[in-house]
Amino acid sequence: MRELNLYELLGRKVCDANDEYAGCIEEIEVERGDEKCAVKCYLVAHRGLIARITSWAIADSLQKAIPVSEKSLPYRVPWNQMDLTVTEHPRITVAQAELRKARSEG
Amino acid sequence: MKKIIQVALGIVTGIGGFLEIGSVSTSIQAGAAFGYKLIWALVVGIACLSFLIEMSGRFAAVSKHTVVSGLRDRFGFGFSTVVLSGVALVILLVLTAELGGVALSIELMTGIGFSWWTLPVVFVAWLLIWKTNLDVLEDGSSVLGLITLCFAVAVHRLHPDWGSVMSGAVPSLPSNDKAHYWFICVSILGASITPYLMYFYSSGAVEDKWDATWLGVNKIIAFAGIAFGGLLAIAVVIVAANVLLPQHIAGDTFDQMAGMMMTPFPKWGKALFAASLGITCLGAATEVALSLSYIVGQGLGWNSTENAPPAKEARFSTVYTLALVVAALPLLAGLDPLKVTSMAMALTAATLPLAIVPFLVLMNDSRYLEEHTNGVISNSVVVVVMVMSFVLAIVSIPLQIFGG
Amino acid sequence: MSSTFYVVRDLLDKKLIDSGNTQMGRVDGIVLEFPQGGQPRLVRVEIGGEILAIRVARWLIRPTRWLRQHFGPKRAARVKIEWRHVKRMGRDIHLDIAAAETDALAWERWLSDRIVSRIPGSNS
Repeated sequence: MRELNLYELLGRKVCDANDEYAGCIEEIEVERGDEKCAVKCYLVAHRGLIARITSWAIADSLQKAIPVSEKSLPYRVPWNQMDLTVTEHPRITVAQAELRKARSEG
Repeated sequence: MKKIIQVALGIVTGIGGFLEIGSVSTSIQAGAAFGYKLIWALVVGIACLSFLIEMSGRFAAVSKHTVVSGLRDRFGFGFSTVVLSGVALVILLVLTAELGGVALSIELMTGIGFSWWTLPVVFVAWLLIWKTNLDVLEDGSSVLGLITLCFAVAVHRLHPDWGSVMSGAVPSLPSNDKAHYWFICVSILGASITPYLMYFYSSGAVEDKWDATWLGVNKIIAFAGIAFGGLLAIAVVIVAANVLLPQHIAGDTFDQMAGMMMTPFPKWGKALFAASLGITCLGAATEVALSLSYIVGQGLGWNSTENAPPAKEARFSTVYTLALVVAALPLLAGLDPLKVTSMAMALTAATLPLAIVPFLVLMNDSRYLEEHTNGVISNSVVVVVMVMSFVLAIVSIPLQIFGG
Repeated sequence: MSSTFYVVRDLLDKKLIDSGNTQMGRVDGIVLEFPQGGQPRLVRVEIGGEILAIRVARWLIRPTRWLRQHFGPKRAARVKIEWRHVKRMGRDIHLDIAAAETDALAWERWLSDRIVSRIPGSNS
């Protein structure tokens, strides 16, 4: 059973199944439990520096008012599609096209 | 009843607590060099500070978090540490200036150099924080600080031309010495809009367990209290304009500053000036030192309170003790407190965006403020003044060389 | 009660309040376990200066570790709080353990015992 600290994951660059850059791990969604919380998905964001700084700095109410392109929305990568065998080089086990499809449907 | 008392104390705090070495020295230099022409800068600074203090109190009352705590919550450790470290360094310089103000006041009355008084002043400031609680500190310095009403009495005795005074509230450009004019303008803004007051005020509100029922009281304290205090700073400008300007005295040494009070008060002028500065700077020094403890403690999640015995808040009390000692070092080395004040005010203006931009983000975040987020007016006033301060401050450092 | 939340937005850097309503620190670190082939799980939160040091820059871990070993109280590098002790999540994280049961207040106790309590007036 392997344990990892959050700081070992956050900000890591992620590639997809075709070895194309998909973004960085920015957030993790978990399902709250009494003893432990199960990881649901990783939010991988393919954002430019400006977008990262502004989302960091701008309040939620203002962020909602600013139109964002679909391209800058994060991918929601289900836990079973993220391969963390090599922590320094996380890999998504599907192609980005599939993630984009899931993003536009969801 | 408790709220009425708090309003009264809050207003008294504003009157007695607004003036300190930064606001007094910049106001005197403004009046001595440019008459009433920089009163508008004071009005702008005071207005902005009122809005910021009201926001700090509102944030604390609704979210039950202090501003510093909210910064780490919202922005995470890395970003908040960068912001708070930068602000804390400037606040430490302000602490040096306040301690120097007290030491200079004693030098004025005794003739013995301020460096000799530095350690006793540090000890007294430390003892006040060590032995008393927040209420006693705040209320005590507010009530004693009412001695600064002597500046209002001085104005009354000097019979200024009120028409000219009122016209000073409208921005105007000087005919000459523009570099010096803008430098003093930046210094006034830096002396008025002090981030440590925001952190201190929100910490006090949390310590007093404010909730949403205190929002009305908070507004009165912020606007009325600061307005009254600001009027006293304008009184200082008026006195300098009527006494120093006609005699072409720059008012940039402590003796000159104290000397201006000899005209309205021939017998007691110097003593009144020394007492006013000494008391208000001592009060400010204790607040600034506590602000530094609050910044470190709240950022790291300590149980930070001034209302517990020091032994129960060992980390908190260690920080303000160390802060006082470190702040004293430049004074012990003989650095002129007025020069330190000048640099502290300019740096405060230059680092305002660092303190205020993240704070404004918090004030617009409904996760903390629910339905009490900022309105358009609050946001606009602060953004405009902050941008103005920052732009002016960018040029203030070269201005410091040419105009300071 | 079961609901979803985001680890960075809703948990990291939040204040930790113990069973006696005392602040005991902030969530400086979060630990996830990865069972072989199974769903990863968040298992505990941690408090510690070393974790903060690593979050700033990894090379800071060695000097921070050296400082901990040579200065101040003898204490664990990190205070580890298992997830089952988290009772309530809101603006702050409420726990069902007392800070005194952990090393969270090690520095506080050490400074108080060794230095602050010995100064007159520190207990009033």
